[in-house]
Amino acid sequence: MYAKLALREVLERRTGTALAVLAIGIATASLILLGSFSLGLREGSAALYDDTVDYWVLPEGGSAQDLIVNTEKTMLGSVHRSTGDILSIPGVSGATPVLNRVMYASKAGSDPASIFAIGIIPGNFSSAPFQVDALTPGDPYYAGGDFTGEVIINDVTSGLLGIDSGDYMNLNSSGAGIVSGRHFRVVKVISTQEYSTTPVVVLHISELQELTGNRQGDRANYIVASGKDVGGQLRSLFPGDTVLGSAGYVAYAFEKDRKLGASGAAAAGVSLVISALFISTVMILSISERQKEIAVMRAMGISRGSVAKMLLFESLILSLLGGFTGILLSFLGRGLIEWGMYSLFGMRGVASMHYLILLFGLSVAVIAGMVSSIVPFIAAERIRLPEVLG
Amino acid sequence: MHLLELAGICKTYRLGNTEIRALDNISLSIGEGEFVAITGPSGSGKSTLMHIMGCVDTPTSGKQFFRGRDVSGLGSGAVSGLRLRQFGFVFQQFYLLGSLTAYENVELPMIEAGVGRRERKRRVQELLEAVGMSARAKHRPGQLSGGEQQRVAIARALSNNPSVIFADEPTGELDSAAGRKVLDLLMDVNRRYGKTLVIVSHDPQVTSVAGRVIRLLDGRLSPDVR
Ligand SMILES: Nc1ncnc2c1ncn2[C@@H]1O[C@H](COP(=O)(O)OP(=O)(O)OP(=O)(O)O)[C@@H](O)[C@H]1O
Ligand SMILES: [Mg+2]
Repeated sequence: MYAKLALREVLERRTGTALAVLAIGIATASLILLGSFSLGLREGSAALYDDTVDYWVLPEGGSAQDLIVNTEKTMLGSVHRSTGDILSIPGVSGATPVLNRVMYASKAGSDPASIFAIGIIPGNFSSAPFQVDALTPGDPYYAGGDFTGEVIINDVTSGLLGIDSGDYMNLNSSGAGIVSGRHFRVVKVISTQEYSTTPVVVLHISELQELTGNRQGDRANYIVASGKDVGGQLRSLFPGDTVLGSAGYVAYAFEKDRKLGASGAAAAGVSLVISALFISTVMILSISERQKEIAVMRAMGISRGSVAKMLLFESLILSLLGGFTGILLSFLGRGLIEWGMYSLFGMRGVASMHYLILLFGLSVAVIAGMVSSIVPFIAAERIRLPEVLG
Repeated sequence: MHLLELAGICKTYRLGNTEIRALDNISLSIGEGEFVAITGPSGSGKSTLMHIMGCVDTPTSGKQFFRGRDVSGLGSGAVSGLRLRQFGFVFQQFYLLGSLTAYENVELPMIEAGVGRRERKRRVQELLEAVGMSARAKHRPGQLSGGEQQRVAIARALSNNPSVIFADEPTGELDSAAGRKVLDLLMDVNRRYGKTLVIVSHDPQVTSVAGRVIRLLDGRLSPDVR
């Protein structure tokens, strides 16, 4: 009954409710967008976040940042062997080591440009972030075979270097030695608009290891794997390292990156305060309007607790409406921002609306609702019955 | 043992340096089943007295008993419970909850008292029937006339089968025909169900039919008229 009463009160207070819902919606949407774009930017540059990746194996002391930034600091060793071990776990459907490096690339006779190189074992991962089946499966050079010299590039690289399928390109870890460096043949140009705005080149990991001096020790930044419920086995296989599930990846990315964490917390705080302010303002206005009704309820013997319950329901309804509006607005906002980014900078796929971020935005709104129901409750408690009843 | 008993009740308001004595040393008792009218000029303290009797307000000094029990020291929860189960209130301006239907307005105190769904339904229907409002059960207060609203308010006051009904100028906002109907209903409640009835009113219609009239003058009791 108190829920029903609360719902009707909220619905009947049209302008107040609309105002509060919109304000909470905007606050929540900003929060969600901030989170999505922060996450999206790192994902975009890593070109890696994908539904088919279920687990990340990161070196001990490594962080989600290492998925993007190429650091020599912490790396995994003997990754071919480790990947073989992972693939032998029943339930694992694919695994590949990933080596990320910013490299210099050029078309013969042109100036080098920096591009993002990703070394993997093609064929081991059926639905990798990129369609990599154009590369010779496996890693022949590692196994003692020929250096294939095959690369897949994305459309961004293709535009940047002015090369296309069948063309040759140079790739080197420094700009200076590029002419004497290895030549690679583009076997395929893929569209990565959904993943990345960065120029990307994908090649066999051992060949990238060769170029970057990581063949010694067979090193890579991390290993990705897909499979169902194999986290426990992966963890026992890599006791010293960090194994993340896909949900854990998001949580981990937030947790590990203090900068993002701090700005996220600040945004959450601002959004919380804005939402709470609007909810309590609307509620206090409504309470001064409803002084009589509340006084009558109290005179009739409706307890404090029940009045509090009604007000809590009202705040929660407002915050839920606001939270869902925020989710809708954030999708709208993402569309707008991405359209703007694309038309201004030619960038695409910048935001990642992970469900955890949506949930986080909604939770912040609901917490705001609960916190702000205290204020109207105090206002209700201050109503002096005899004065109001006359 | 009396149902209600007041002993030396004073209520003072302080406005700056002046002290307003709204009630000045009131002692009286009201028995079970009585029909008492409280009358007196405006500002004489009628509403204040009724609010104190109904535990909506607290006196500045004096003692107060309900069925022999001292209620002065009761906590807010206990007083709330007393109002919920023993007292019913009817106000001049009806004060039904505007977002609830007539039916739900009568049902609300029962929900608070923890009455089961089936029993609630039976009693709400019975009460609306008794005040002649069953046909309007689904209507909101805004869709009802003043007299109709007041009849619903009477049904609401009776919902938890209280021992006393307090009514502050229940006919004050109504024309004489509607007022008569409301008064008849209240008298019926008093006579038929033996509920104690305390009505604040300067309506001669009311004072003429009351079993006893308490007259207030400047916060003091004048000798009972009857
Ligand atoms: N909150 C208050 N602060 C100061 N004075 C008050 C307050 N409430 C009531 N009074 C004073 O107490 C006295 C009694 O008020 P009360 O409302 O009981 O009168 P009443 O007999 O019900 O009058 P009416 O017939 O106009 O309703 C009045 O003088 C009033 O001004
Ligand atoms: Mg009065």
